Amino acid sequence: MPVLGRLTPSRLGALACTAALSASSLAVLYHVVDVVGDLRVFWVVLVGSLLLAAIAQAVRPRTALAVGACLLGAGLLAYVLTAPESYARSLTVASVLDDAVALLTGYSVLRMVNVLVWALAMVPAPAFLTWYFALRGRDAAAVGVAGLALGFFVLTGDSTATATLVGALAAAGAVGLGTLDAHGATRRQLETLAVALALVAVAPLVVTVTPGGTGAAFGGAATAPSTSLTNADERVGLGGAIDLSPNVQFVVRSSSPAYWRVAVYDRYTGSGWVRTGDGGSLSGPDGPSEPLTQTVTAKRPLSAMPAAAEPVAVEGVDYRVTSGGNPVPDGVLVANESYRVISERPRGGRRALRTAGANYPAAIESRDLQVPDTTGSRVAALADNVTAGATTPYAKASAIERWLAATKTYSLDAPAANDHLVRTFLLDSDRGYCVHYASAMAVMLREEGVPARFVTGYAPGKRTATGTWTVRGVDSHAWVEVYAPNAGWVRFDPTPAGPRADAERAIIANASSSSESGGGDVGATASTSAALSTSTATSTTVSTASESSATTTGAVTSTGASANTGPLGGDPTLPAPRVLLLWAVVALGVAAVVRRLGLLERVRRAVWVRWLPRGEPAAVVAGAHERMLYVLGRRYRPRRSGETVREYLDAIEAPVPARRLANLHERARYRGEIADDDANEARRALRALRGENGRP
Amino acid sequence: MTDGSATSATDDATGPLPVSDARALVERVTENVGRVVVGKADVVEDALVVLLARGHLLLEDVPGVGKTVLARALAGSVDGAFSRVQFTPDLLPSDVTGTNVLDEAEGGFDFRSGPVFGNVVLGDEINRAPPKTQSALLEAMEEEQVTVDGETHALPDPFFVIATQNAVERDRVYDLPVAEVDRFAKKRTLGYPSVDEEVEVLGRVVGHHPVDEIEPVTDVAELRRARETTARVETAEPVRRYVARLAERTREEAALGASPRGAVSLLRCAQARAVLDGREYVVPDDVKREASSVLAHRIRADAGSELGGDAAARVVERALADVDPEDP
Repeated sequence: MPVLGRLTPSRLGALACTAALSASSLAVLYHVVDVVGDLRVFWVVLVGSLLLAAIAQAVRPRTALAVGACLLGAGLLAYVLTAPESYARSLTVASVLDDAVALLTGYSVLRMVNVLVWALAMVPAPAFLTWYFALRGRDAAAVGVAGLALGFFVLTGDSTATATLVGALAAAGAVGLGTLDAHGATRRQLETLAVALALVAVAPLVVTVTPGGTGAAFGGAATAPSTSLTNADERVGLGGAIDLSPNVQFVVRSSSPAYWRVAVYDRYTGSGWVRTGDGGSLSGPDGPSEPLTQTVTAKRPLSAMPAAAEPVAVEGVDYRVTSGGNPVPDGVLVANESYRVISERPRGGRRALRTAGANYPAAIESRDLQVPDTTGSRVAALADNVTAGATTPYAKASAIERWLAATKTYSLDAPAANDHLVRTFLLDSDRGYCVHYASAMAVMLREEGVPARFVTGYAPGKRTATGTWTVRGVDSHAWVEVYAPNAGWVRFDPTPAGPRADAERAIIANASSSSESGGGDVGATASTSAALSTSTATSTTVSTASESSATTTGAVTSTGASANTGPLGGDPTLPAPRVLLLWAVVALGVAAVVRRLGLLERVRRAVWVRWLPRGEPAAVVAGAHERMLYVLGRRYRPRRSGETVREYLDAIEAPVPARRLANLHERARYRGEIADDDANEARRALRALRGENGRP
Repeated sequence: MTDGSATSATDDATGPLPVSDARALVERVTENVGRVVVGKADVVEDALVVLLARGHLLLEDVPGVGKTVLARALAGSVDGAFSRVQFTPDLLPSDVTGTNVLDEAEGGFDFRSGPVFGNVVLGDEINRAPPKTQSALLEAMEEEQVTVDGETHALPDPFFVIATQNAVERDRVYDLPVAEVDRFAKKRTLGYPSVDEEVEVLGRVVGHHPVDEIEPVTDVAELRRARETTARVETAEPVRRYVARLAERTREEAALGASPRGAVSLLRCAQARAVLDGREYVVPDDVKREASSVLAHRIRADAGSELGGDAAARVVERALADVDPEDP
């Protein structure tokens, strides 16, 4: 092993940086495998790749590159072979290119249907090549490979902010340390490296160009207040901000009220929900159904098309259909734009589930039973416990629903968590709102082998006239749909109705009272943020604001702090590790810059130049002469070693006072001849010299 | 510029000359020599530096560039005894120093002094004589006296030797050994004149040579006083330290560095240079200016290479660049 021959601290540092970079790119794949598959497989593949890299040390780089390419090719082949038939059928060069472009412009890999095979296929090639080069001491090549992998996930938007930051820093660190190691580093060079790393850390604060939007390292993008539930985004974060605006969103004319569904999500990632696949078609439920015609009129710009479950026909606007079977407008619906939807509502409601068996279609089974590996066995055990005795899917669903209502507290003030919100909600915090309830129920049902999915949309709203329902932002909601063979998706709403309605009323009352005082939209917006300050949503916003330092959200922070006596008010929280890391790197960089520019030394010198020694004339003359050389050195160039003062003054064509002072000093030094007046003469000369262009 | 008042002042005054007078003397001589020797003002100045520093000068160059003319002009400018020794392979030591001759009238030996007894002695082509004869001159230079048959004869004061040696025909010459080269304070080359200078030279020498008409502009008494002035020029501790460190540096850099005698010569020449600048104290600039011509010919850059030469000059240059004159 060539690497063991010369293990220096720089070398070890470079290897550690490479490891960090490699880990930050593999973290995405680890997460994917965790969400959709078995982590043991991931470890087996990874360790195998690393072993291969160690064994392959003997071969030449060209051969290793070929091996890497083969691994990648084999992985992609496996992906294509295991892809759903429909995908394989439509496989063309154009569609492959199309997919690549989609991925590189922010299409999360988690939305790929067959992502497990894909993720496992992507592990070996980068891991192998990275460590092949790293162990050979070729840091640039290792960083190139691992950086490419990380860059790919940054572009798809899957890499978290922390991982991206760590990866970028590690990449710079690995190349820097590796180069310094190769040439024998001095402390100055290490300082330069620290400055460069600080720049890497700070630069993303200023510019974000990644299409996935998660590139902003410290914008808190990982916990970004993602979606108001009013749009039909492909993913939704748990514990994210919800647009609980009291404003009217849309008005529905319909013969009967319904839950206005907006989006359907099938893949639970631990921190949110993702909808896999790209497009679908409008189709009615599998079982018997009855039609319902609705006319929806947007009252504010809408990027979604709320409709009762299983819409089958849409008129009035251009739209496309998501893989969940929901229509989405092309563009945004403007205020007062309206459309007509015909939905087929499953007949029989929940009862359909009661008689349904457990004979699920394969497509449903593979998609709607997924739970991340790392959710843990305690959640599964809890689900078993809650549903003990229940034999049918319906009994299980009702048991879970009852249990949630009995043991959990409805609260908009649920603590924010990045990972495994369901686990936190179920096992630790016990408080949450609709998103928590619905997610928890879906996950528990899946643990019990009942296909379930997470749905967002709006509660029916308030009836304002016969057959007219007015829906406001506060009606945005999340619930669960459970699959019943031969019937279709059956809606369950585990969120307790009472507390939710109370919260709604409070927000609306709050809004109307302040719009009386403030008037119009401005007042409404202000009161919204005041009301929101009691919710998790704002706690996320506030912490984001403090992380990203000076952003305009400072206003929200102050509103929240003044209007709020809740737990948020006086809770000093330790900054997140990411923030600490940022400050550490920045502090290191600043220290290095200060040292590099010699700022302290310059300040000392500036004082020193103005402070002339007193006392012995000889000391005064010598001191003035020394300062003169410093001043001239700053103004022209320093005297070179080996250059006499006379030569120096001639070379820089020094001004007269300098020559006068030099002459005084020469006489004092080489003749030992000094007069009392010489000290004053030297002072005058130095002053004249300093004053010449007003600065030392 | 035959300054009558200065010359007359030397007649009765004793003790050192004022620095300004010493400087004027040097200028007079330089100008006088310049009437004969075209260009080469710096070499003339160097020769006078050596003269004031009580050293001896070695001129090395190809034949015919005016070494001898320079020496003769210099000697002719001083109202003193000038003698010339043409060194040849068959020259004997006694031909230089002189011999005891039997005085038949008085019945004893009478010392007949050789050409070395002069104020300015020109040793022409010194490297053509065998070592024994060379050393007769060199011993005289070092000790300022000559011993013949156990009898010691003091040489005149001032006693100033200008030796020339040929840089060509290396196979027919006896190179001066290290110990003897070291006795010359300075070694200089003249180099060929430029075209303009050569035109001037050709114009002057048609007819009779101007060197025959050169008139003295100073005398030995004034020269002695100027030398006394030079010896009294202040050398402060930093300057002495600078000289010592330069010498030490050449010893670190070269196979054979500058000897302590070289360091002494350097300091003395720096004193003379200060006089030429009208100063009563030495500054590092004086030392720097003298270092190359005083030290280089004593240095053997690599074991086995010649003394002096380009490599030795580079050793001195490096030492000057490395040693900081302003170090306390």
